[in-house]
Amino acid sequence: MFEFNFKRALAVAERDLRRFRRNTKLLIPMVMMPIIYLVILGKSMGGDLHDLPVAIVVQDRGEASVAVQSRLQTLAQSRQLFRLASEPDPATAVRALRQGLYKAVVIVPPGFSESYARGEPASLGVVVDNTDNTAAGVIAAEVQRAFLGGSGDDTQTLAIRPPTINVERVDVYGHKEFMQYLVPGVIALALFFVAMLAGGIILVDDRARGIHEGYFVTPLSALDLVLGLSMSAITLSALIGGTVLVSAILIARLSIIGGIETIALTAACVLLLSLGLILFMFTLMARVSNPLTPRALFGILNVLTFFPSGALYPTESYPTWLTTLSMLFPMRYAVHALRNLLLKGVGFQSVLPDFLAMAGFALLMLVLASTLFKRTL
Amino acid sequence: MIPQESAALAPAIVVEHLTRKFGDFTADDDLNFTVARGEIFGILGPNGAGKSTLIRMLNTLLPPTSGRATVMGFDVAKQSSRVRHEIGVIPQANTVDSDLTAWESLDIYGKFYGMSRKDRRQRAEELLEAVGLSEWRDKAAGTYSGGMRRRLEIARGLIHRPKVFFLDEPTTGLDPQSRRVIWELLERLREQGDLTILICTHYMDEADRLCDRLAIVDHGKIAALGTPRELKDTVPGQDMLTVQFLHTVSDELLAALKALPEVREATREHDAALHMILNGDVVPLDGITDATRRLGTGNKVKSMSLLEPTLEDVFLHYTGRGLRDSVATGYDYAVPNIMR
Repeated sequence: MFEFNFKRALAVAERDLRRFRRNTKLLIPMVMMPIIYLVILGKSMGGDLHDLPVAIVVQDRGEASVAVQSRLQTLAQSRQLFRLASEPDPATAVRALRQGLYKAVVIVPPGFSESYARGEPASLGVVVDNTDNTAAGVIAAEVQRAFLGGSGDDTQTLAIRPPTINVERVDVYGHKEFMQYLVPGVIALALFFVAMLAGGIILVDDRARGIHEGYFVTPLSALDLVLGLSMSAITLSALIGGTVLVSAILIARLSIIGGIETIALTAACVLLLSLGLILFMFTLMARVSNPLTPRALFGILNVLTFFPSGALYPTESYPTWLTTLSMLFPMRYAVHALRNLLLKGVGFQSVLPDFLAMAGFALLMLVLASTLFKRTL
Repeated sequence: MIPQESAALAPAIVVEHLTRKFGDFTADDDLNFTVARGEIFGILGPNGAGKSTLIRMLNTLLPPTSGRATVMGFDVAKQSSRVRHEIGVIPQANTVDSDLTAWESLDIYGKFYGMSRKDRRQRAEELLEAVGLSEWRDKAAGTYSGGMRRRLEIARGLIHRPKVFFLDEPTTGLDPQSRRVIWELLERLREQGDLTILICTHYMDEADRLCDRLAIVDHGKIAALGTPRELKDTVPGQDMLTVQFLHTVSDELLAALKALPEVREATREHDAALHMILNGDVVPLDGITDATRRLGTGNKVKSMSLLEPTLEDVFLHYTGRGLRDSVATGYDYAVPNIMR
């Protein structure tokens, strides 16, 4: 049972090593993958947030109010944590926040300066979009810290004495768990897997098995093939995406705020993302004939498209190059749109820019895939 | 045989100075031939001779490097989509979709050609019956034997009633019985008369049995072209007739047999046996019996055996080497993978 011959085992090893030596290209992803993982993951998770859109609503014209505004502006300029915008009243500002335009609204209420001047505790309201708990937490904490007079020179120049200003955080969406924050990313990930399988692996396997050679001698055009293969992959995406979506909603106990409109827009978003990803795979695999290639690229593509999509951590923490990279792929727009739809129940207007970006990507990939798809051997 | 009325029509396939190169390697070099409608035309040659490259150019799968070819009057490079409507193809590699049943495969391919549902059903029934797969129509092709897959491919290639049928080594790798089934199938197709067939093979028996005419291809060039009979006739040596007599053959009888118009040469194998090389493919039975009766002094013919030259001899004659030897010359490694 334990018969063993070292020379025979060595021969098996030799054969395997020779094969790898002849296919060194396939080893490249194995080296690249961890390095890309390190760089992308390192920069897309836990980085410092910056340029968070924050609205300020000033309902008090007193001295203390001006000081608060200037302090917030200093904070915005020195750390680039915020991008401040002014809104006329709390209702408008919060409506805009609900549409995803702001991450937080800082409200300086009427009588703020008066209370402050009297030496009474004066309250600042910070209304946060707590669907993005990371950003909400950071903004609330930073505003709080700024008025606690903890550190820095600016506290002195503003002459605001702690602890007379209270920062009151208000969560717009009630309690949200991190699991709910992850739902859009999980759906995007499921659609990526389908695209990889149907658009990448099966496509190249069929080509290697001669199925395409059989197709090419029929009147099928390159566009017939690309559209046909897309339709089947989309069907698969809809089935799998739908199942994952429903499961995720149940597991994370999401309540669909926007009703039918949200469901319809979510379905549209799933279809647009799948179409883009599938056509992207067709484009990449248009001329690949080695069935190992899509398998070897799987990990790298996942890291490149999924991690910088904002699925796990706010995109506002990315360095410029990573932001640029993430804007090239449709995952970012899908995650953004799905989060706005599923967690906030926004309307069509709010997701339109994301939808347009995804549609544009899909169209570009359709053109590339049908151009690159070889109709001959 | 080529039906007379069809032969008068424009040829089904015209190949003019057709050349295909892969880098520095010339797979097909200045090929010229025509195939008449209704004809079974064979391309006989060893692996790496350029047969598959030729068939792929005619199937619009590979663009020619230079020269031109037409199929049913359509240029394979410029009117490729028109060509694809006219042809049915059995590629060398197995392209059967093993996940689909025979019925599904035929139905889906019928849709590729825009056939109506009724037409597809009727044609699929007819073809499955013809290739003997009716009982297996609802089983996934993955469960089929090699011969059954080949037959399914033949049915699939004929679903849209093509005018020209291309078969690239249709029986390679099949057992003798499966080969015979496929030959019989192709012969039945030939009898229907309206289908032109171009078949690539390295089997001489296949070419000999099926083809009206054939081209012997070696190193990408046509070494010889003609009917199997014509090709055999060009080989010095011709048909060899061995006649065994009861007794020693007299010199007079030998001289008389030599003088027969059908006999080019007659030599003694031993006292009672002669070797005769014939001029044509007709054995001069009457001449031999007459001469024996007149001059044999009681001698009689005991047995006769006719040895025809084979296409192997033809191949040997035109290429200087045997077909079988050439198969193993290692072309597989020297040419790009795409040529298979």
